[in-house]
Amino acid sequence: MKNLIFIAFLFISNGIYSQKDKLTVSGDWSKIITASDISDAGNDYQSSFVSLANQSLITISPGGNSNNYVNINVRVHKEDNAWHNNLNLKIRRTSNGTNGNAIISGGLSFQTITGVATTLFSCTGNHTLVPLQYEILGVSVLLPVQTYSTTVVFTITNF
Amino acid sequence: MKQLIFIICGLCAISNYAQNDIGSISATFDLSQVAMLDLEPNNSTVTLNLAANEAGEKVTMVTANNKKWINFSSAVTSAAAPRSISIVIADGQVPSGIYLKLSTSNKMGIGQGVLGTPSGILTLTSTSQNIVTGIRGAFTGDGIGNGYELTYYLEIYDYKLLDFNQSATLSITLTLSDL
Repeated sequence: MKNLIFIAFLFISNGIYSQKDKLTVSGDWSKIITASDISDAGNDYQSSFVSLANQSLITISPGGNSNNYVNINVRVHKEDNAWHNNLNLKIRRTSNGTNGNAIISGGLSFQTITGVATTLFSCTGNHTLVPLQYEILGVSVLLPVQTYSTTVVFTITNF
Repeated sequence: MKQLIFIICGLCAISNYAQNDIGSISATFDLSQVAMLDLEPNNSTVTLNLAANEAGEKVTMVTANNKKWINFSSAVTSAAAPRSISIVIADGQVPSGIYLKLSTSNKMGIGQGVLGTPSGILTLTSTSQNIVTGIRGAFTGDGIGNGYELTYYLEIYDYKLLDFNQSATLSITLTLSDL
């Protein structure tokens, strides 16, 4: 009986302590590319298009009572819906967000988003509304006219 | 029982370590159809004259700036029909006894993509004719030396119809289309 009570205690305490780390992200990027993006007949599109500096906003809230000391890796990958291999989607973090006191590092230079999750940045504790910017390269009149789309997926892991 | 407790503690530790969450946004790029055509160095008038220096000699053509370059950018869907560039005398009439001819060069310059096939030499009329066919997603490059060079010239087909006091101004239209 004592053992059972002990096991139950472990489950409960674990549930309290290990509240799930939370990530929220908002801000899709949708861009219509037209002939007006070509400077003069005979040219291709410009070499790249860049989103707003705060196109997406990501908030990280570590779970548990000691959330200010939890180290978080924010990882990013993409899952293509309709895509072309010539397109190269990049992402970067443009500032520390509104919670600038906690530690955050990495991700300030554009990095290519691939199908494999890679670390975008690391941080400790809560970070609110960290702004993300995107860049798309490889857009060309040589590509078939259609809508290309991909889902950018963010995951967080603590360490 | 101790072993069971140990296993449970281990699982708890792992679950504490590896808590994660997931979020996503979508990135969408809508590429539109493009059909842009331009003449280089400009669309100024081409002047063609016939002159005879000496009685009895063959009439020669005197030209000034009778060359133009076609630059274009084209983006199409996978299912779309190839595009073509057509030419037509939209206004005016060629003086009697002569043909207005147009020679279209092979593609030149830094262009990429499916730039089409030139038709060679044509006699221009008031009926639209294709000078380049089979264009798909492509860009020629911008400026002189890129795309297709057009050379206008006159050809006499009947001397007795020539009237040396006659002149004509023609409007010529080039169109990049899906037709």
